[in-house]
Amino acid sequence: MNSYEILGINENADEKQIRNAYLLAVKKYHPDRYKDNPLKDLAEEKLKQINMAYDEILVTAIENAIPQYKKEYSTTSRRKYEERAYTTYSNSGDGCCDCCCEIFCCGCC
Amino acid sequence: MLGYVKPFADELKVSEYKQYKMYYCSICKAMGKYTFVGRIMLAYDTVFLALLADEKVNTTHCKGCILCLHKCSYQHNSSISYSAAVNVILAYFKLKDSIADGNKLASLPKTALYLPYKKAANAEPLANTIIKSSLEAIFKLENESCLPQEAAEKFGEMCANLTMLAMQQKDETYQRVAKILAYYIGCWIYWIDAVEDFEKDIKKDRFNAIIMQMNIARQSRQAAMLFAKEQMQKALKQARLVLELLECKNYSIIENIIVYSLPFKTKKVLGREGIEYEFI
Repeated sequence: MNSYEILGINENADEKQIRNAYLLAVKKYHPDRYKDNPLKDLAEEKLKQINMAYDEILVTAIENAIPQYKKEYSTTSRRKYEERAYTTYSNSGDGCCDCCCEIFCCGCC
Repeated sequence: MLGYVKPFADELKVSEYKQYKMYYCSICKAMGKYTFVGRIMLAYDTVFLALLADEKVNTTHCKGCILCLHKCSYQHNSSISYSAAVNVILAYFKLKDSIADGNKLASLPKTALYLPYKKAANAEPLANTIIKSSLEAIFKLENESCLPQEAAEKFGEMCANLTMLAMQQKDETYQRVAKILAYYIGCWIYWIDAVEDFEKDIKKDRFNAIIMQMNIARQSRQAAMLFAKEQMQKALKQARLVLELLECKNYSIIENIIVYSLPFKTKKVLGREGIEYEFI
């Protein structure tokens, strides 16, 4: 049984569905419900399995998200760098636009 | 005390109903090995036992059954044979109990069922010993004016032990879960039978757990009934918790029985006594 089967959800389930299934399962096998039942130990074992399954799903989700995050982060930061560099370059007056030259011409171009 | 553990047909899917019917017809056919006429004594409770045993099945279709007059599906496996033998033994003891309670009409079918009973007892000697010794112990407890809970627990133990015998091929965890489930259902059966037969028993001056409770705890009829309700509610609540730990292919039918049928029956029987019962 994989982690998704233990929680009774589809492998394509989103974060909210996973969380709901986890909370429902915890409520179902909570030791307080089984306090007068001779199968309390089995319920506890089941709860442990559920916690482990949920942890595994979370860890996998984070691991999958890291490369994507890195990619997004690098793309964003590169774009920001380029924008900043362009702005700096524009403000330096080196290669300024035509309209600037027309008004404040210093004889550079 | 037979025939209480049956599904609530209104809440069953057609496929589940067919599956249940297959088990029913299979046990009926398997009972034919011991007796032909005795097949009318087939009880729903032993079908539940076969469902719980959850063994692999190879379904075959018969050309037509004389008793139910239609083409039915059936199967053969060890749990079906076991349930059939248990049914014959239980039916024999039920008739014996009816005679002891003064029902003279039961003596004829009891005589007719004697040879099939012997055959079934030879086929399943352990089951016969469990039923015989447990019923004797319950009878003794009832005569000694014990607390009705003790007799109910003894009946629950008998059901649990009978279930354990049907689970020989299953793993330890499954056996444990099924055994506890059968125990709580057994306790419930004892109380529901006492409530349902209360009127008849009080008229004929026979033993009844409710009358016992009224005498021991010096309670009124209403208070004793409320006590029985509490006991049934407790047994059903625990049975539902155990059900959540059960993993088998007949789960949906077993769930239907425990979640819908047994509470519905409780509500119906208690309703006749003017007591309200809320579904859990």
